[in-house]
Amino acid sequence: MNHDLPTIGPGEFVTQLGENGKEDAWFILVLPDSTDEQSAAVRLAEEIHDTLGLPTAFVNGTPGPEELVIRLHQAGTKAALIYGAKAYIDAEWRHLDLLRKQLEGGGIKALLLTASAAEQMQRFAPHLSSFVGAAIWQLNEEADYLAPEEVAERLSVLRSTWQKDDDAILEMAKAKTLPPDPEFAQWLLLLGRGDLL
Amino acid sequence: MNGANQDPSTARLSRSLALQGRICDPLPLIQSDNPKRLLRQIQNYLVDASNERKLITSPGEIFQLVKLLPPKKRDEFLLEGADKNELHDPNRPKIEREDGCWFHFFIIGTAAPERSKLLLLGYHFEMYVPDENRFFRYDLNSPTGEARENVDKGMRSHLHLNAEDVQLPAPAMTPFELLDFFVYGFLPRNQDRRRIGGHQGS
Repeated sequence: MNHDLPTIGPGEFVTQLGENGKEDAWFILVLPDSTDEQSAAVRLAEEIHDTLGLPTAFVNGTPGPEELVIRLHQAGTKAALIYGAKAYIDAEWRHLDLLRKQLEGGGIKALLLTASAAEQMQRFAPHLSSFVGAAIWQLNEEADYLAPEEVAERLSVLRSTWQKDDDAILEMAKAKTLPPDPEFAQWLLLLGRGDLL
Repeated sequence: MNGANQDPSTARLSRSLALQGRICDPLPLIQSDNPKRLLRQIQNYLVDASNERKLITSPGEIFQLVKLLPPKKRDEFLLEGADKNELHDPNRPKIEREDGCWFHFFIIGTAAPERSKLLLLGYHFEMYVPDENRFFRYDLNSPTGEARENVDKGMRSHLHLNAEDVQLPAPAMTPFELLDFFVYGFLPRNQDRRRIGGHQGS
C-alpha cells in the first residue's frame, strides 16, 4: 500500500502541519529506508521553525511504546517529531495501539517511519492508524529541485526560442559575446556552467 | 559633470549611467541567507496568496511549480517559478491570479560566502494578460562578463512592454517587491472605467 502513498516535499509537509495541526493532530511521514531519521528530523525542525515559528521537540521512541508516551508528555511543546518507532515489532505496535488515549492532546505530532514500519502500524495498530487517517505521506526531499526532465524541457524551450544550440551558447559565453538577457544566464546555469556567468 | 565641452553622445551615456546608478546601484539585497530559505519564503508567500484566493493556483501546485535548480558546488543559484509557457498555453501548469492573469519568473543570485545575505545577479518576471494578449516583463541582466553591453548603456534593469524589442528603464527590485506587484499591486484597469471622460465614451 505504501507505493500508493502520496509523496510530499518538506516545505509542503510543514505547510500541512501548520494548516491542519491546530490542536491535536498526528501526521506520519514515511522516509526512504536509506534516510537517517535523526538528521531528517533536524532538517524538518528547521523548516518548522522557519515557516511556523514553532520550537520542535525530538522524541526518541526507540526504547518502546511506554517510553515514547512518557517522553512525548515530557516534551510538552506545540510540535514534536517522533522517531525510533520504525524498529518496533508487531507486539510493540499492538501495545502502542492500546496506549493511544495517552497519545492524545499536546499539539502537532509527526511520526517518522519507514515504508515497512508504516505497513506494520496499519496492520497491528489499526485504531492509531484510523486516528491518523489520511495524514500520511512519503517524504520526497528532492521535491524542492527541478527534475532532470524539467531541466531538459527548459533547455529545449530556450533552444527553440533563440534558435541556438548549447554549444553555440557556450562558445559565445567564452568569447564574451553572449547577449545580456537574463535568459542566457539561466541557460548557462541549466547547463551547469555558472562559472561562465 | 556635464560640462559644455562634453560631446552630446558622451553626455547621453553619462546621463544613462547616472540613471542606472539611481535605479539599480546598489542592488537590493535578498533578505535570505541561503537559496533554500529563499525558496521556502517565496513558496510560503505564494501559498498565503492562494489561501487568500489572490491566486487560483493551489498550494500543492505552487510547491510543484516553484523550485531550485539542483545545487552545484558553486555559489550561484537559479530559482524558478513555473516555466516560460512561451505560447501562452492556458492548459500548462501556471501561477494564475484570480483575474486570470498568470506569471512566471526566475531569479539568479549568488550566496556570497562573506555575506549573510544572498546577492541578486539577475531576474526575469513576466506577467501575461490573456484577455488582451498583452504582457510585461521586468528583467535584470547579469552584471558580469557578457552582460557588459547593456550595463554600459544603462539598461541593466528594464521593463519589456508588450514587445521583446521595447525596453524601458525600470527600478531593480527585490524578489518580494516584484511579487508584491505581481500578486497584489498590478490591477489592469477596467476597460469601461478607462473610457470615462475619454474620447471613446462608453
